[in-house]
Amino acid sequence: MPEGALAPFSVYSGLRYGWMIGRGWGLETTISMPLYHRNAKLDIGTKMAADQGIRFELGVMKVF
Amino acid sequence: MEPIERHIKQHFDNKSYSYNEAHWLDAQKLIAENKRRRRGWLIWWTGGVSLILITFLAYWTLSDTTIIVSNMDTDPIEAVEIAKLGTDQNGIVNSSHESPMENTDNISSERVGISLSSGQSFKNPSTHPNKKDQGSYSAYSIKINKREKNSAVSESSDILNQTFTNQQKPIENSANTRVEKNYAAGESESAIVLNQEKEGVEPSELKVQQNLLDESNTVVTEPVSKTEEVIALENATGQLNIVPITPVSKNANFGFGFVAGYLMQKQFTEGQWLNGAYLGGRANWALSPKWSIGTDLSLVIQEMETVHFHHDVISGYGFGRDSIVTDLYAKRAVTLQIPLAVSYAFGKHTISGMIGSRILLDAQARMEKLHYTNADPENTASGVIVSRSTVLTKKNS
Repeated sequence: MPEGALAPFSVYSGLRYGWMIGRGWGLETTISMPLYHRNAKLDIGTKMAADQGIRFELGVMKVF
Repeated sequence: MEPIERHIKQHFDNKSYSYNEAHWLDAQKLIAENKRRRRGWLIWWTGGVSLILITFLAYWTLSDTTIIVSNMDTDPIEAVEIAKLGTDQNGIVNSSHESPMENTDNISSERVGISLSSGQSFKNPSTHPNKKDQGSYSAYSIKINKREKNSAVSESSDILNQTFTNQQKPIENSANTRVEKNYAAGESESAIVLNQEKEGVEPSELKVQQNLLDESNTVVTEPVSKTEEVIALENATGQLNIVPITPVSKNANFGFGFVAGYLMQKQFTEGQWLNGAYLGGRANWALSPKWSIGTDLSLVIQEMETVHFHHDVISGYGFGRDSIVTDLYAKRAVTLQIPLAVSYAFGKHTISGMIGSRILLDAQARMEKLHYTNADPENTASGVIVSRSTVLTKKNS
C-alpha cells in the first residue's frame, strides 16, 4: 500500500441501520470497511496504519 | 535511514553499557505510571458517555414540555394592556376589543407569566416516517392571572401563539386538557384561551372557531369540529379562539442534526480491537418520501494499534547486527470522518449505504520497550525506552 508522510487518509464504504425512536432522536449502528488507505508516518519514523480493519459504530442521533 | 534507526544508533553505537540498578527501578516506575495513564482514558470515556446520556435524558424529558422562562410580577397597567387581547361581545377573542380586565380599580394582584416551547421534527422520511409527526412548531404563551380585591373570583388568560409546519400538535390550556389537531404544512395559528374560575359558577359559554389558511393564503373561518377532546376543552375552559398568523416555511426537506457514539475497530495487522468515540454534525436532504441523501462531519478519537517492529542495526561491539524489537504503544488518533450516505426509509427504520473518507489529523505514540539481542547469547542485552528521549539499558553478561 502506498505510504505518505502527510495527511494519511482512507476511503471506506459501509452500511448503516437507523431506528428513529421519536422526537427526532434515533439510534444507529454502522459497519464499515476501508477500501483504500494511505499509511501515516510518525515523526519517530514508524509507519502507522491510518485506518485498517472492520469498524463497528453504535451511536445516537438527533435531527431537527 | 529511518529516524528510529538514527535514534538507536546514536544511543547504542560506540558506547559501553553499564548496568545500573537505579535506572531499572526508574524505568519500572515510569512504566507503571504510563500504565496508570493509559487507564485514564477509561475515566474520561465513562464520564463522556455519562454526560451524553444525561443530556439525552434531560432533553428527552424537557423537549416537549413548556418551559417557564420568566414568571414575574408586573405593573398592573402592563398586564391590562396585554389583557386587552380579550373577547368581544360574542366571546371571540379579538385584540381590537376592550377586555373586561381593562378596569384596574379592583385589581389587587396580577401575575404575568411567559412561557416558551418549541418542537421540531424533520420531514425527512429517514428520520420521521410517521407523517403525522412531521413538521415543526414553535410557540409562546403569555399567562395572565387576575384576582379581584376581596373576591374569590379569579380570571386567567392564556395567549398562545403557535406556528406549525405539518405536525400534529396538542393545544394545551390552563386546565391541562389537550386537543390533538393535524396541521397542514404552512399553517400557523395563535390562540387566546380565557378561563374564568369562579366558585360556584359554571364555565362561561364556550365558542370555538379556527381561522385557517387555504391554498391561496386566504383566511377561512370555520368552527373546530367538536371531537371528544374539544368537548373536554369546552367543559374545562371558557373560550377558545384560533387565529392565523404568518405561515412558516414549507421547505422542510432539509434537516440537520448531530451524531455521537462509540466505535470499535479490529485492525487487520495485529488483530486488536481498538475503541473510540465520535461526535459530529449531520445534514439530510429528502429526495422523495422514501429516499434521502446525507452527509456527516465527525471527529473521531480512537486508540491506535500497538506496533511491534524489528530493526537491524550494527552493534557497537562489532559483533554484527543486533535485532531490535520495539513495542510502540500508540496512544490515540484524531480523525475527521466524512461519509456520504444514500438512505432508504421503511417505517421508522432506515438503511443507508455510504462511502466516505477518514483523514488522520493527529496521532500520538510512545515507545516503551526496546529489546535487542546479539547473535552471541553472552552479549544479549535489552533496553527500555520509556520516552522518545530517555534510554535506559541493561547489559546481561
